[in-house]
Amino acid sequence: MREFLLYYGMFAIYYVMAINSLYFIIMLFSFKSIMGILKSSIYSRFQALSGSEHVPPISILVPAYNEELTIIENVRSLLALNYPRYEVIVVNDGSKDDTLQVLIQEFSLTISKHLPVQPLLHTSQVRGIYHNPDFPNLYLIDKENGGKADSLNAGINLSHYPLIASIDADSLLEKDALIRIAKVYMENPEETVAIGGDIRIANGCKIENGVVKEIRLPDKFLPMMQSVEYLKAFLGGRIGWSAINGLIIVSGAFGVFRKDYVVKVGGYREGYPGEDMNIIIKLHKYMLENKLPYRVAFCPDAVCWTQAPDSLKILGSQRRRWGRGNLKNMIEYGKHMVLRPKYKLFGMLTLPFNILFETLNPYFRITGLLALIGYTLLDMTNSHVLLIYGLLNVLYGVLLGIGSLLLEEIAFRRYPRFQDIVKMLFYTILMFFGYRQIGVIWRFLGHIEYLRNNNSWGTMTRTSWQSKSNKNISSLEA
Amino acid sequence: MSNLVPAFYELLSKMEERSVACGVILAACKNVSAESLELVKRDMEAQLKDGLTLHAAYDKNKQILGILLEQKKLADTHFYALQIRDYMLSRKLLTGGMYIASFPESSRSTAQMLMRMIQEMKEQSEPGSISVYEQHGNQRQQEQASILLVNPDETVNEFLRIYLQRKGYQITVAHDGGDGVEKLRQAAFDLVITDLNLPVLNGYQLMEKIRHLGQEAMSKIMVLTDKKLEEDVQKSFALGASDYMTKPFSPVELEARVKRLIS
Amino acid sequence: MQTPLATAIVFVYTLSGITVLGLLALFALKLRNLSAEKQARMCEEKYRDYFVYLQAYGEEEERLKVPYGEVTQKEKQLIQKKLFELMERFTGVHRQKLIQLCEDMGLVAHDLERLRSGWKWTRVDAAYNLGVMRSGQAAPDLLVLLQKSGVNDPSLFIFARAIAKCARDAEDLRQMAEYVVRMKKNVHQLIVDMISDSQLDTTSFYTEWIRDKNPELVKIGLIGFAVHAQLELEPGLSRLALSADKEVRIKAVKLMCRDIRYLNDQTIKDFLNHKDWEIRALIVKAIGAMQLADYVPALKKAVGDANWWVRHHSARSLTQLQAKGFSALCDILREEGSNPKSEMAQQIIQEELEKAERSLGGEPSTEKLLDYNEKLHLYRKSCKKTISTVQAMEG
Repeated sequence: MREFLLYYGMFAIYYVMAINSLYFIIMLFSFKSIMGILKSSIYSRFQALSGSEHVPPISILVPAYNEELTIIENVRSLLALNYPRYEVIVVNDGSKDDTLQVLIQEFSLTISKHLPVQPLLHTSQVRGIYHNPDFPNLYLIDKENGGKADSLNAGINLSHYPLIASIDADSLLEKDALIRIAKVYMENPEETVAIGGDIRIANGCKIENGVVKEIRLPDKFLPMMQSVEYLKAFLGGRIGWSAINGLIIVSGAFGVFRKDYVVKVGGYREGYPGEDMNIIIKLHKYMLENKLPYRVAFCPDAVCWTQAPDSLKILGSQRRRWGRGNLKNMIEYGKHMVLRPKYKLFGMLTLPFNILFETLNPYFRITGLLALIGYTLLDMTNSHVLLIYGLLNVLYGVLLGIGSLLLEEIAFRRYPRFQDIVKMLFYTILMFFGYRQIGVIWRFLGHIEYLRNNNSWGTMTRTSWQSKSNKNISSLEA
Repeated sequence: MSNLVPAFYELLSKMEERSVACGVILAACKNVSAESLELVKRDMEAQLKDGLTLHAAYDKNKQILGILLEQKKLADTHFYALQIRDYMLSRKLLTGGMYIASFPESSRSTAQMLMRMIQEMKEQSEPGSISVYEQHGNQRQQEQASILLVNPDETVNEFLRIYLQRKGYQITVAHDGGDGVEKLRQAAFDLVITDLNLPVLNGYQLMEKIRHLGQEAMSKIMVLTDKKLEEDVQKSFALGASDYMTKPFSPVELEARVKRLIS
Repeated sequence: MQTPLATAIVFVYTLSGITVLGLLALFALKLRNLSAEKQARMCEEKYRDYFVYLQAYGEEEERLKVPYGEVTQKEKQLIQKKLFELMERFTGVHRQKLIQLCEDMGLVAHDLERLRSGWKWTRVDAAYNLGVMRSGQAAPDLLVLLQKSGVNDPSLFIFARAIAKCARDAEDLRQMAEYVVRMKKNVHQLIVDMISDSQLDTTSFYTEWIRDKNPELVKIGLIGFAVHAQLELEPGLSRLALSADKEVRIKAVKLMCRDIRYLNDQTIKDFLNHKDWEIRALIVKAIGAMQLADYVPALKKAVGDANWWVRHHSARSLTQLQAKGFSALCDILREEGSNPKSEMAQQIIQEELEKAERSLGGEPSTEKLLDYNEKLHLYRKSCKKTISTVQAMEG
């Protein structure tokens, strides 16, 4: 028994070393490409580009469910983006509140029952489309409740432009976020199928008229933790993964896609959370199966600010959903794609990495920890094994945290003050004492929910959208 | 009368005769004796290099140091004034602001110019500030055309303020659409130069508001923007804009258009 | 059991080492950035009046004078930044004078030298700077650097734009464009955008590129040509409309559809029956926009096209051709059973009626009233069988 616990504990130690080393390597890729990102960003005149007739037009899709309080301000802010030609399509997903009415009233919209809509993707019944010639680039689709993916599909059907952007109704885009993404697209329009933006936590920031005026770190504990977490995932992880074209997710909170390919892969999947990861996996699959050169890019200087949940309950339900969606995606695609050379880096590295180190992470970590605790209890003389396990976890985590802070400091510098860095460092360390462990449990609970077939997405949608837990991000995986 | 006028009169009239330019700098200055004035003059000449001829005189009553720069137009005079100011500051000579002009750019009559400058020297102005003499100065302030700049771009705002003020316009700056509407409520403007990409209210909404504000004499609107799309041009004109310029722009052209719109 | 644990311990030590190093780097960087910011603020303060001077005399004949006194290299860089901000916003004499000032300050020479630096990012910095300063002298070196940058090198476009800004003649631009299209597919729009930063008169060589043998240059030419709307006809377009390259065809037809003079009866018929749906969509759209009432029957047929966009634009165009077009649309309802064609016609008719009805709000003019009644009449006539929908609408 003792022997077994020790062996298993050793395995857990090596597992932790392996997973973190891989993260570290991915981060090194981030470092490798950060200078290029920085230079091509500072040497672009986005202001001039935002008036150019050569920028591709974009349809912005905003699924909204029970957003009556914030929707007006968000639509106003979206209508004021610095971008030459775009349209905003708000999709009211059968809200129970007055989302539809406040929009109709604010923008004096009138219904056009018969506006021709291209039937590209199947969706729930559309009740009507609203428009006002005074706001020529604003459309409002009113449809029966069908979930977020369904809303996006309805938006795609109406959209008039070749690129679509999906944006959460409660997130705030920086004014030049879209044009920054467009630049990445314009530099390789043939191959780019999707581009993700950087998501940052808005809690604590001063927001005026739909614009983030002053950037501050959150005061509360949970949002602060998430700030650090997001920074790590987006800067440390996604830049690196995109450098080797292995990105598995473009956050639904802010991503831009080629419409033609999204339609070709059948649009967004309904019925499960994680539709944003799902669409990226499908795009990878489609492009690789058809042997088309392609790229899923990440644009870290296009920033979308989002409100992070600040109560354990809501955060927990968000993380359980992520766990559920992730497991579904991994089971569905894992069995077809993992370790098949046909799927190249995506099948050989990204997916296995995700399954081993993200999906199965809770099991290895928890059981490893338990095994080592058990072992230590049985044999107090060897307690240093447990210590090493803990140290490895914390040290590596801190190292990765420092790495992402370095990236931030090299290229973006959104948090100007010295104390901000110290605070973030402090929370990076703090994360390993409690927060991480709860996260692991939530994920575990998410898996249980999935296995108990608790996929009643519809009801989940209704409660969670309003409660802000349904951040359309689906995961912080790299 | 200030003793600067007779001191410089001869020189200035000589310049006038030969029709060469001459820069004039007045500075509020601590009491200096004749010898130290000579020293200061030589110091300055050495510092400015460029082998230029400099004349200096001091008015004890008004405590004004006057400097003439031979063959220097206003632009150069302004530049040298910067250096002279730094020199005087380092010697703790400067007690107030500086006032600069150049003949014949600033005025056709040298004597009149000089006298008015001495009159207008603002004693209370901050030490080290430099202001440029304007020919029509105060008396025309009421008649000056007023322009409201609505633009979030600090650089353009700063430039246009300096540039158009020199051309004799009164400039007010608003950084966003909401601010713009606020300023329009407070006062009437002859011309509004606005961008289309504005925070709070965008350019179109601003134009709409201008239409609904219903002032007796409606401001003319000029759009200055990065947007080069035809539909933006169309829409701007439909909403009452009288002119449309895209960035990057030629300031000379902008001024010409402003002049045409206002007259 | 000792060995694996020993490895882990070594790992822990290594990690601690790297972490400490990272921490030091992070703090050092932050402090450096903070002090750089402070320096920038101080420099701005110091040269504030000088900048006022620069902005006030941008159009006088004398040269702008370089800053006096001791100017450190760091200060020069900060001044350069301010100058660039101004230069990027101006054209004409103001920009020209600032460029001259940059030359007088030795900034151009400095960056020309840095272009040969061993550090890649120094070269990139210099290239960008020289671009802003429109240094024709730098163009040959920049072209060499461009041709050394690989496919996935982000500096590719930084060099390319710098060349567009520095270009001495059409040949520089051509070399730049040719290289970029070899490296990246489908970046023609971006290339035209970059070329619009050039100081050269671009209209003449876009016309030239349209006639080029290289189809990539032709595409750039067509895009550039479309932006700088020409009065003269370009005879090459009709030939390009037959090109084997689909994109060239579409771009050429798009241009032709903007000017009635390109379109004779035969061309229109050819386009209407073209195998590319994009071309069919373009021509049916153009027929509506140009009010070519003779083609009502052709449009009516096109409402039954296999492609949704062609159907859509055809039906839309019919509504733009007054009563004749609208009645043709209504005829479709009568003649066709339930199929995509009649469905499209139905949608557009309904939408059109809605629109007309909406415009009646308040006190409608007789004209609008007549228009609405006529449409309603035509519609009723065409589908007596579905009269209930009309009643519903009126209700």
